[in-house]
Amino acid sequence: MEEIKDIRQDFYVNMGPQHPSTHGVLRIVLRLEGERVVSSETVLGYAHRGVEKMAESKTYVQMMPVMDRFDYVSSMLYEWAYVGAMERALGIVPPERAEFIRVIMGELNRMASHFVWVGAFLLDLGAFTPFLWVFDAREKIMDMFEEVTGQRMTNNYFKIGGVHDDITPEFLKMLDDYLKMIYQRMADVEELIESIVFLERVKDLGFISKEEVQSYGLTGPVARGSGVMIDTRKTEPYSVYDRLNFEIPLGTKGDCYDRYRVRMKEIIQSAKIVEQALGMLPEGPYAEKAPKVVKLPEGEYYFAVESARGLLGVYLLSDGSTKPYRFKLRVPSFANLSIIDKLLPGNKISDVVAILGSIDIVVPEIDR
Amino acid sequence: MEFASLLNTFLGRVILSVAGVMIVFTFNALIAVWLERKISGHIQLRLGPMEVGPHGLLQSAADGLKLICKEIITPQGVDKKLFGLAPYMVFFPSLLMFVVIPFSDKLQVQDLNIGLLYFFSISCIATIGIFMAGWASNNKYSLMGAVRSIAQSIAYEIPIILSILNIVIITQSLKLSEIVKAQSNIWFIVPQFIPFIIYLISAIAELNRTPFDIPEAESELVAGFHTEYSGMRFAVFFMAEYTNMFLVSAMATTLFLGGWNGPILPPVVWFFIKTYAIVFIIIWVRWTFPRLRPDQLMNFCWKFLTPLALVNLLVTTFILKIL
Amino acid sequence: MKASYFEKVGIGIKTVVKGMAKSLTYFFKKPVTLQYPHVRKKIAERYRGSIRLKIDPETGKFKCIACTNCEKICPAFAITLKTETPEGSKKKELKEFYVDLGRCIYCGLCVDSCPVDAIEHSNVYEVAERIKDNLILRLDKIGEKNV
Repeated sequence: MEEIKDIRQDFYVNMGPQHPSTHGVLRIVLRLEGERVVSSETVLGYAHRGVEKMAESKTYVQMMPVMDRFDYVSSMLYEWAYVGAMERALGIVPPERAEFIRVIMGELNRMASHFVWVGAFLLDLGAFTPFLWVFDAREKIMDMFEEVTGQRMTNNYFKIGGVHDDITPEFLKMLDDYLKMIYQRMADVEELIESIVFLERVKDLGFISKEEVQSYGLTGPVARGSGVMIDTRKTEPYSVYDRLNFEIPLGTKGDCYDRYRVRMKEIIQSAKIVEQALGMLPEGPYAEKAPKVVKLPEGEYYFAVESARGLLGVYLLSDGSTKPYRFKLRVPSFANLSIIDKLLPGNKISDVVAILGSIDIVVPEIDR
Repeated sequence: MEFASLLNTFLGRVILSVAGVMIVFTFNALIAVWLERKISGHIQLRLGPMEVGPHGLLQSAADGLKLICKEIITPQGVDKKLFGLAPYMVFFPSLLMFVVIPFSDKLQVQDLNIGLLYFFSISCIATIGIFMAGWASNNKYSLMGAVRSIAQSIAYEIPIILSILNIVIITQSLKLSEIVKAQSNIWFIVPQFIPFIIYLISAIAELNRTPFDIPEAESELVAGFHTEYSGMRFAVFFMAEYTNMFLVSAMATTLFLGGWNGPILPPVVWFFIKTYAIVFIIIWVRWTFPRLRPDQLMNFCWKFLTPLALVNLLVTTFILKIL
Repeated sequence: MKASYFEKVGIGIKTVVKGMAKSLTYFFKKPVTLQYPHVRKKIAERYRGSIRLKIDPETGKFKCIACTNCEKICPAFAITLKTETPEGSKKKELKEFYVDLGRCIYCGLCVDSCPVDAIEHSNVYEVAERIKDNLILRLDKIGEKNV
């Protein structure tokens, strides 16, 4: 950034890496003119762990638990992308039941992720209560995960050829109760959130045009909030999504409010997908037999899923050994964050947290 | 000297008043913080503090003890004198404001004939303390919080004064005991409901509480003007906030809810019931809404509250003239 | 489409009242939290707590055959085995089995990789310690913590 000549007018503020609302260790250098942002610069790398390099020294199976640790709020969608890439390489088709279990788990995880987002977004705007209301709803999802996968967040549940364990009757009962209460809770949360204060804060703020969505490579609810229909579940259906009937909510204007609306509607849609998948859940084995030592045949493999934040792609380059030659992730948060420096200038410092919150980033995923 | 005669001497009155104010102050610091945590807890499907004392009643005392035990940290580069003085500049006005609060027909430190004016002028001093804290901290977040605080309290003084002017016009007095006596038949909240709402909103803004907590704004300015404060100095800010909350509620009770008036129960009890009802509303509002942006805050004050208060004042005077 | 001034005031009053009413209804709802040290949640059967070695009920000895599969597969290098081959026998035997809970990520790969089902997850989740060394557990000694 350029030097400040006249110190009486402009000054720099370091937002982060330790700041309550940068969602982790993200640093944004803001150049302010009073309350107004003149320009901004985003600094990444505080949570960089070199995972892509690390993958080259770990076997394919050993990387499985690491996949949970990029985006810790929707970890099973990451597992799905990784497992999908390996299955594509090995030519294994998971059984029907496994696919439906994956859909149920993935959509529940998407809901959990959006709940965290709604809570954190409102926390950024200064309201604390919605945070705990949605965290109660998320907590019940976590309980279900614990029942089936054995862990609450870093599940390590998917495996090549299916899933690790079958779902239990206890889980089905919990899920039934959950689906009964979730619509009411969502209506309550919406009623609480959408007060005039909230509407004033987020409406007409942080516009992203359709062209910008294309040029910045934005995906997920950020792109859909601008009315661009990008959803891997529809555009390039994987698993059994082509047999499920669901809508992709789209925004119209592309402001923070539209992105919020899209996510709130997606929670409802995900709940509906779970309901459908439950009804279609076939009997049968929950996993195909997988090789004991995983060796991918030589070649390049790519598999993309729709994570809670957008298009998530796993790229594997194999030289035929037990370890990938190159492991690359296409993470949605990183691409989505790239537009932030364009959105911030001209807005107030209070809007910085609102815009940053509406983009929904997870820092370990960005830095990897 | 006998107790009754002690009351009649000047020194005796001073000592008793100071003791009384300190008791109310301590009691409130314990109760208001506990109430806040309990109410917020229950709204958020939690229980709030449960461990220290029955239902966590002594939690505030334990927290206070912890804060007293902490080291007083003065960060590098701060203006030491201002930095040390600022918390007390915020704190002492709130003690001074107790002087005119009529807890009952007899329990009042001094029944000034300009009581109302005294209360609201003293309350403005706290803003200077907040600005001192932000200025002295040598921290950009603190400074921004301080500047916001100044802008906010200048703006919201106006609707507050305009709303209470109605009461003054009706009662023809600035003396708080007379305002209370004028409400023995009907509380002013009934004819003056809109000023009551304006007063409540502006009072929340003066208190720097959500949805108007822009000087603190923890998600934007980390902690605003008290970012650099810790230990007992922070506790002084904290206690001042809750004391102020009690005071504006007490003033709302006095002006709009009939003060100590009430059947059966003794007047003091009525006073505290009404005051804590207002405290409950203030806490309830805080845990319902997000925070406004500073410019929206100003818009809300200048474009909505102030015109409304003015129109209301006009209507009140007009009606009084006709009657 | 910008709402007019009075429209906005109307929306404001409506939404504020609605929000306040909603939070008041939740004020009277039953809390969902548990008072943790006094009340504990039921832990799921599959919960992956700290690992432990299984004992063969017939022989009363550990099932472990010291193949070191778990040591090899552990992504966090939390497991350390010391084996010995007694004289006159070709089979390795387990001498010491350590798990460092400070490193363990509770992923369950060791349990999956075990060929004789000799290792399992317990439901123990309260594993905090004041001293880091206490987190290194020796699992093949009965009487030690978590065994």
